[in-house]
Amino acid sequence: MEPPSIERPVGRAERLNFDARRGQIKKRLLELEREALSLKRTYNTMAPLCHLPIEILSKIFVDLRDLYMGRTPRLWIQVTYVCHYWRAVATDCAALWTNVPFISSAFTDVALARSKNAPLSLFYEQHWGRNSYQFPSVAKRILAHTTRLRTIDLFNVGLDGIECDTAFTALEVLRFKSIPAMAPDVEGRDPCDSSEAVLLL
Amino acid sequence: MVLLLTSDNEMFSVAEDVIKRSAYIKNMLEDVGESDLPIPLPNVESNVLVKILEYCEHYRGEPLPASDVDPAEIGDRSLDIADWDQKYMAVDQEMLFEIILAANYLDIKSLLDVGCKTVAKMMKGKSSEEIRTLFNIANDFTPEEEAQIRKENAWAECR
Repeated sequence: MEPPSIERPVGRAERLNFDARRGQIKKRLLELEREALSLKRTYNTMAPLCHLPIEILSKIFVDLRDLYMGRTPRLWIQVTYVCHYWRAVATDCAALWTNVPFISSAFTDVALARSKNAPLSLFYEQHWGRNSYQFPSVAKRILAHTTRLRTIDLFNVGLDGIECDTAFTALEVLRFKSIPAMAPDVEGRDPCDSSEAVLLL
Repeated sequence: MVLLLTSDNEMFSVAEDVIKRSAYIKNMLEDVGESDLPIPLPNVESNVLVKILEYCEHYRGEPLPASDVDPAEIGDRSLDIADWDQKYMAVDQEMLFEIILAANYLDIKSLLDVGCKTVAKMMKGKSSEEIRTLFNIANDFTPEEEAQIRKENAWAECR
């Protein structure tokens, strides 16, 4: 039995030939990738859920977000990672991005841009010892949108050092909530009780 | 009684107070007045209309929900689904989406609402890959979109 022959490129002419062939293969692979992508998108247009009108799909996304109200956006933002069409619908749905926990500067920028000019609800919760303190940078970004801020919910943060010259013309509710230190305070109050201040405007 | 003609040419005779849960039919009856002519429903098949009528019959006599809800208020709605509605919505995916489409076409807001919440609850707790499997959707992102998604996922996670 003859051993399998192994061809090795030798000489400049053969190397040039290989380079040309590799170029052709690369080009063909790109064509196939494009074709596969196009077929997948056509396939997705036939998925029953993708037959729903955009406004209904958007409503489903908002419902999913609200099922996770106040928790990390990572849980519902999955809808923007499902397929090209869902992503386009979700990123264009302003209502989906108006009532979210602004957990980081980068996410705040994304959410503010996608919320377009819709009324905003600012929700920020500081988990002591768990996440870095990002509130000042988040607040700075949000305060550029005071005219469309409808509600502000702040947990374990205050507005100390936050400056803003523009009027909050749309603000309806400003709510502060804080959890005291774990040990009972000097007056013996229960450390588990949280304090809350609500200002209805 | 009101006559309804489905897309597959089936005729249904329905009590007016049952079908008036559909704002579309209610408005049509108010505009046109009494008539012996059937109302054509070119977007609704008979098997779907049977399900829709089951819903309308169940809620017969109950007050109709208030008209349009401000989309900005959507987030304030309750996401609970009544027990009967949950059982009613325990159908295969194809029928579920047909019910949603018919509820939208017939303008039955409460049914549309329950349908959307049901689909949202089906997605709850699932990763994007699991949602694709659930709804038979292919990953059709370009490499550039994939890169952007990875970045966004990191932003959404950073706590």
